[in-house]
Amino acid sequence: MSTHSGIFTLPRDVSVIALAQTLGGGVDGDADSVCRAVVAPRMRARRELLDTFDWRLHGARLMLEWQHGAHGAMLRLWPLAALDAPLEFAAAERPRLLADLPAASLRRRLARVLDVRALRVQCAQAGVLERVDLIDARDKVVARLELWRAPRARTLLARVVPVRGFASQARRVADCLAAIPGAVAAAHDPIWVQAQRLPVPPGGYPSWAATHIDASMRADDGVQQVLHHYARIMTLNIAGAREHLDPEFVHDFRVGLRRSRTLLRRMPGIFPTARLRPHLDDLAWLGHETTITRDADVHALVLPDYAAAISDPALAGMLAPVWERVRQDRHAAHHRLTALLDSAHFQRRWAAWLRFLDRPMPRASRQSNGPRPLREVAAQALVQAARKIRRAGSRIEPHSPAEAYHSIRKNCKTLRYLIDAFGNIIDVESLREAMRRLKALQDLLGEHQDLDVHRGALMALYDASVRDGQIGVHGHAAMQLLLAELHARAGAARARFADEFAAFLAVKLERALRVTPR
Amino acid sequence: MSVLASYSIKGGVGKTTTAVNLAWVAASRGRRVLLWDLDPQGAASYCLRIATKVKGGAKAVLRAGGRITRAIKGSDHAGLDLLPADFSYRHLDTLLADAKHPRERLQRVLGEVVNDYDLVLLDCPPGISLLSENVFRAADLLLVPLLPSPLSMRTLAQLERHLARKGPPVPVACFFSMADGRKRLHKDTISAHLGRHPGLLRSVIPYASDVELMSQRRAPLPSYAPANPAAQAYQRLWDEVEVLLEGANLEQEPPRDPAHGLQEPG
Repeated sequence: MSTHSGIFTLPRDVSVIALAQTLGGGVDGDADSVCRAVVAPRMRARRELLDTFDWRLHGARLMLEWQHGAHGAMLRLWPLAALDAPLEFAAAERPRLLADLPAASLRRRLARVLDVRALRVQCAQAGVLERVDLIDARDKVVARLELWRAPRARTLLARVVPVRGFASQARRVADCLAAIPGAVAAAHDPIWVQAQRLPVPPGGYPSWAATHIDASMRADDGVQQVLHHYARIMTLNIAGAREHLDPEFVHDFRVGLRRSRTLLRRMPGIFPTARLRPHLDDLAWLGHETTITRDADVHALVLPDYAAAISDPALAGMLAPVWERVRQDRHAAHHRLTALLDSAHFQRRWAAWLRFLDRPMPRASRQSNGPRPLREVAAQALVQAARKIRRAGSRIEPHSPAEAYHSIRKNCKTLRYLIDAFGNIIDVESLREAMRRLKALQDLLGEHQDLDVHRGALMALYDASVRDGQIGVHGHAAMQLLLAELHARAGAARARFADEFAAFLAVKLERALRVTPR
Repeated sequence: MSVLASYSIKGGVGKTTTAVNLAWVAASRGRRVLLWDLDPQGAASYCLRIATKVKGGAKAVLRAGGRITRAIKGSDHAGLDLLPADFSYRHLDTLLADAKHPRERLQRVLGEVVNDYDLVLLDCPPGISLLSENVFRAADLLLVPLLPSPLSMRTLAQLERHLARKGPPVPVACFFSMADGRKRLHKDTISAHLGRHPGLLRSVIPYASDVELMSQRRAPLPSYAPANPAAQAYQRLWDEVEVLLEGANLEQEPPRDPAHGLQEPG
């Protein structure tokens, strides 16, 4: 049995007619074998590899391809490196977002991986496409073969497209191709070779974990390297944020900002204050400016869906002016962000930040923590962050204001960021259970915070709509229902806090952090 | 996943034609469709060029454990798969009678493909039997083709009475099929019932020789004659059926949490 992926490079002089004759030979008396091959007229075509900016489909071992030419267009979702039938849909237009696909299984399958990320053409190949339908004795297409001839290429690409329920026929076709003199079986589609040359190749989108620091290096060198790593990720996201390709570009940029600011705030005495101050101000300014865009994105993505809580569709429809306002706000926020990212001020300040991170730290530092070993300074920051969670959480009561819950959420995030930053120099394995508990606590606090913030946002949007005379009495009733629903959900989240916090305390994270540095 | 059954007590009313054409239309609009040819005659399988053979026969497909997923065949049309007929399906009633949960067997078996397809279309044999009882329980909607004649309307009334008395509460939608504008009987029957009979859809499938050619072309009508009036009528019929299926599914789905998955992990 063949084990290849059904993709081969063949000598360029192989003719499709000869191939069709070879493959359509059949076996006497075997109704299941290919007994005829029908060659479609050759045509110019283009195939495009679609994935998110950060290669989420590739990470999920999937390949999404949009093929179009004179014959029409086809969207195919392939398993990576396996001879399986693809999911196909004759999509006349290239999808950019999930919403561009029909609400059906292909969209559901992609939704698990893409979330709100946009699909981009990561790379494309144009050429002459020759297609061969391989047909059995019952006149059924049991496999397809595609031959791609790219201009100036010395070989041609042959790809077997299996049909569900006819796996053995596809394997036999692949075996026949493998036997052609000069045929080379490829583990992957050659379009991945092209993809490897991209600035962010498949699997090359960096994670937030900084892997190039070690425990013995100076704290100023280590922190500078982590900040440098964050700045690189943020820079990768600027173009996408500017073009509003999807909300995740702004999100990732903001995550980088928060992580950078957390590091600078929670690890003082590393850099000279006078040199650092302007950059801290810049990062705070960017944080504020991008908050407007991120809030507008989240409002547009989430708020209208809350209307599902209103069972009467006519009543829910009364809130349409509010959702229209959300859309307009988002549009305005995106324009504002583009203007900011295009501004000379941003470009000057961002370049200054990158220069600061590129400049080697002076060996004769007078800073209290800069010359100390990274291990010591990081451990101190980690323990302090865990202590802050314990103290803030212990002060929380069921009727504490929402700000108190928000405050402990920020403490949790801080600890999480520090653990991610120094994961390379602490024994993360021994913290696995603690991390699980921390994440559960963060999720709960995040849920509470979202509901509280969304409730406030809904009230503000509603007030503005009422002021403008866009909403009437029925709209008021619908909004009251919605606000009551969100209030109830926030209450339910609060009710779970005590248990979740107790479970977090039970893992004794502070003690674990004191002993875990490698 | 929605389950639509092309069903009638009467034979020769266009059940298979409806099933094959609607399956193609739904697939062409991006739905992932499984057509299950339950009729041992295997006309739907023939139309899609797939052998009427299932490894292990009727017994195997009724058994749990993913047997039906192994029997599914891809058609020549994107998004449309077929679970072929097998001559042993003529024993389905006997096998169902011997099975555990004899009236829910089909529903349970279909649970194995619930994540793979958006729509399962059952092409049913005529008659009322234990298999029909299974279809009534598995389907979200029974789609009944009617010849425009009093006899067809009488059979529909029989079915509605049966479901009201003994059947599960499955919604029934019907439509006129093979309507010949030259026949007075057809014209009179359509004008007497269209817009008056509850559950009767507005789409009327006209009689067309191109529809008969399906068995010669061995392909769904809209795939080779998209401009044919009957092909366009099937497109409109799907529009109506899709709305009904969405309504049926909305009643079953729990409300979703809008903020789910949007918390900022960073």
